[in-house]
Amino acid sequence: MKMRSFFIAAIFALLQYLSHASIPDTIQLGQIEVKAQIHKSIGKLRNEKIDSLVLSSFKTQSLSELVQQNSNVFLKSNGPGGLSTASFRGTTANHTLVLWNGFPINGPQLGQVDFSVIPVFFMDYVSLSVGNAGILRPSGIGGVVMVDNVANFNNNLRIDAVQSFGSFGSYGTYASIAYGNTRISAKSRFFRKSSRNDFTYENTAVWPKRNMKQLNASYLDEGFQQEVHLQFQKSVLSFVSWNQWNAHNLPPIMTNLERGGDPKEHQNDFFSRNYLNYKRFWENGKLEVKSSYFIEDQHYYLKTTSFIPPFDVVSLIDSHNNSQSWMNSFTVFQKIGIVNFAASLQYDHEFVESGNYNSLEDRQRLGVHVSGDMQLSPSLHLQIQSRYDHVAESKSGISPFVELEYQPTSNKNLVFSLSGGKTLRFPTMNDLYWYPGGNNRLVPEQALSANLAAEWRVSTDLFSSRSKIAFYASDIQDWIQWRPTSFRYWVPENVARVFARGLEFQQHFNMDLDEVNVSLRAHYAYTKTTDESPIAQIDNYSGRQLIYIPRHHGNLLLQVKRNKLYLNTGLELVGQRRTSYNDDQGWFDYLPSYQLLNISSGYHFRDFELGFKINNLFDKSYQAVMWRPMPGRNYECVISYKFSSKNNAKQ
Amino acid sequence: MLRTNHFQLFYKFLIIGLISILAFSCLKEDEEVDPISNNMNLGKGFFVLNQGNFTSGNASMSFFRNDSSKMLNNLFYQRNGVPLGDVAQSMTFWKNYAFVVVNNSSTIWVINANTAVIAGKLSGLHSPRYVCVIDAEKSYVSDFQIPGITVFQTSTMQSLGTIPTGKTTERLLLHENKVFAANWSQYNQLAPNNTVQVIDAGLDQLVDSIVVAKEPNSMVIDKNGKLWVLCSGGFLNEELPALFKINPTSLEIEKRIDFPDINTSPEQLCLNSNADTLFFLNNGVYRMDIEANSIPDFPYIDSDGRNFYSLAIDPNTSEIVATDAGNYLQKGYVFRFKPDGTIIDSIAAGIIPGFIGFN
Repeated sequence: MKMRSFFIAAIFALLQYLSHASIPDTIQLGQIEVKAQIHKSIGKLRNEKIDSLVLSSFKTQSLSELVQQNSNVFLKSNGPGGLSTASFRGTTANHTLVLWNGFPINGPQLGQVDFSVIPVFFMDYVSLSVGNAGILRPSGIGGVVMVDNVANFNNNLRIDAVQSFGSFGSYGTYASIAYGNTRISAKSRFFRKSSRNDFTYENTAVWPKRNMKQLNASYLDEGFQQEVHLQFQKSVLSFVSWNQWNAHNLPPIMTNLERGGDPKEHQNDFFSRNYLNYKRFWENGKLEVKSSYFIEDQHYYLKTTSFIPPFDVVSLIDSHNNSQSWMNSFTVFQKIGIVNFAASLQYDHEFVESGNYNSLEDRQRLGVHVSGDMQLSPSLHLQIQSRYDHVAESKSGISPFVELEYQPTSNKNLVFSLSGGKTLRFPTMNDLYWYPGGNNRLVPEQALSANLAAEWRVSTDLFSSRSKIAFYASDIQDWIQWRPTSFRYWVPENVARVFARGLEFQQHFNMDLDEVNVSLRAHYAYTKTTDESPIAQIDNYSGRQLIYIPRHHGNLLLQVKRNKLYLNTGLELVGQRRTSYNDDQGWFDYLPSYQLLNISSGYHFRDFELGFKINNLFDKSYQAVMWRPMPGRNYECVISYKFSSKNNAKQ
Repeated sequence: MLRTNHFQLFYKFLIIGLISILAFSCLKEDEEVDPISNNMNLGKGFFVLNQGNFTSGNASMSFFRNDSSKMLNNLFYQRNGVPLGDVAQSMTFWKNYAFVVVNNSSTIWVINANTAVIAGKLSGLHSPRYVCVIDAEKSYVSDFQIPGITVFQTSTMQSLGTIPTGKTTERLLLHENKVFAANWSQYNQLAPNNTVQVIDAGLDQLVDSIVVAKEPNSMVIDKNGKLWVLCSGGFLNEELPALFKINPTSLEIEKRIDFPDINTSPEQLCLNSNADTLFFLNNGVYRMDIEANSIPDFPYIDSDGRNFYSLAIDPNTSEIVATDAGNYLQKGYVFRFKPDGTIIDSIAAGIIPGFIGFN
């Protein structure tokens, strides 16, 4: 690991050495779609927007692959078609907030998001925020993923169609049609993604070891999204509806392939997320009123039958969970003198109907968020925020936050940021109402976090480089942990105290050489996250890394483009992960590190693009989650068609 | 000149890119664990089955060696090069073999009880829990999901069929050609879980049933040939836990002793080597004479913050062996006590040590 760290440090140092020229400002190429900074309350050093070109190159994939290969965030994936959750800065999936157009899509029951079922094709804007980014909404103690739809006026008619074919019977169809003029912008999107997902792998958990095909892992995801934006003189009215059906068979783990009774196990989910937004602008100010209504329906099914005819049903679980969330916010932005003020009032009401609860449960949340930022001097920028949350059945709380940015007047290429604050995460509905075990005496988790970041940008007419390093520490008290009891069922309690600290490094580099464009994006994260609670000390696992969070994690994406031809090389590094709190170094206590190399190439001609991708080029056998097999080398071919009446008219 | 510089820079960056890829790609591969010699005899001692976490496939087997007072952990994997599976439930010994039931892998391994080396396997079961060997020709397997007992040929591990019972079964106990099957769980069934069923081991038929209290979880036969059944009172503590003394011939309940507190879940009933003293877990370790008429007020061995999970008495020495599952996420411990309750030692096992097996 020391050698690896040395290599990484050496590479980044060399990059900086090569890009030592000091030219004041970066010259950005104009983009077709320009998006205003939606979340002004997040400092630029704590927010990372994923480039629209990168979004485009991941258009047939899920948010899971996009984030995994283009950020410092660690994704824990059960494999293709399986659950994939994100972990920011040493926290867990429950501490990762995902905001869609400003509203959390973390389900009220589990409080986490399956990134594998969110199609990148449905997103116009994706950004990742850390360091008390959760102050926008509670629960984002680790970080926030923001995915948004962006109105695109004046683009006339635009059609996108994408068809992908891949290994293991994988197909994806994606289509969108958009129309816009000065008054209206409308876009319809559709996708259908399916796979037999029956890849072959070496099963080292059976006796004797042998190559096997992944069983019962097929899936089908399909959905549509409709958005309409109306632009008036000084206001915009937007409506977006995202509806999706996910039907996934659930494969057994590698040790459980010989279950009797012909088990049929699957999960079918449906969600409908609807969002209405009204914005009104005036000089130095803006009003934004938003309302959303989300419905989620989950259906888990397991059936086994007897060995002999007439194959009577032996075991049947047919479990339905339904949740509805109505969320609203009213926000005013106003610049007064040198201060930009924002104040927001949020009111949510969520309902859950579950066979695992005693009754229909609901919860109301009220939040008030105020912020102000100002340029104190040519080199100093100050931001102060605070929010208050009142959540029924839970203790209320205030979350303050302050950030100071320093940009030396002598060197505008450098920016330093120091921030700190408090963020809350409220118990999920399952924490409160699961039967048996739900605990309505839980209090919110409280995270005190500090973040120190520095960014160095340099650019010439030939290349641009951006290096960013951040150090952080979070002390999360009252961390909710499900623990066994003498009643034999588990009960959530505010017992853990997690101390997460580490550093993140990223290097973006872009270079233009005549007709050749070279782009390099590298990310590396060192994460140390441990439970320092008295319980952990008594149980003797204090100081040990939390389960399934790697100390080392990184990725690298090298893109070379010449005229209409491009070649992408992506590398992922995931360090060793604990699977238990044992202090042994045995096989069952750790999963080994792995490295994956993916390459893709494509060619643009007229309105078409033909792409070819090889994942896991070296056919690495690995497990991201214990006894969950992952596919070896596999292929994907993508054909895209893009039509724009505006572009055609120009031609 | 400018163009030359551009190309120099371009190649520099290409080289950097390649170095980066090499730096990430050429990392040391993690090495596989080499199975240790299969010849080593385990000697005298006892097995511990570590359940592992449900759906994590991290069950394991440990063996405590009397001569060295050391625990051999991860024994099954080390001897055989394959993992034990998902939720190791129980062991049953027969001659030089042991049947190891791995519940969520739906598998029964047959191992050489002297070496822990695999000798055979029966798979394709539903949710097997305990094996009861009748003779060389047949054995019974209880099941958490199916309303019946699976029968297999002991010597060949070939499945022979199923005995319908109408409800799921847990512990099995053979006594004078009768198999007593505890109907412990009400998971996924409407049939009440407050009975002990009686199977005629010659006919392979359900012949009778004894109503006890909810969740009969463990059974023993004392020195007088009486059947003792411990009931925990239900998963949600619906009724008082109770201990029953039953005549295994007439199937009459001779004695019922209720526990004083409904919010307790006693389990793991076992006997000392003389079969005249009962032991069970109820947070602490309790000890009770078979002639007693009430539950002792205080534990024989206090839990002292330990999460006692399984219990066994050494059939040779009457030493008390109890496991502590800890927080279920890291290795648990095995505690050994002298017959008088004083501690001998404690030693680490695997995750959730849930079964202690003496051959």
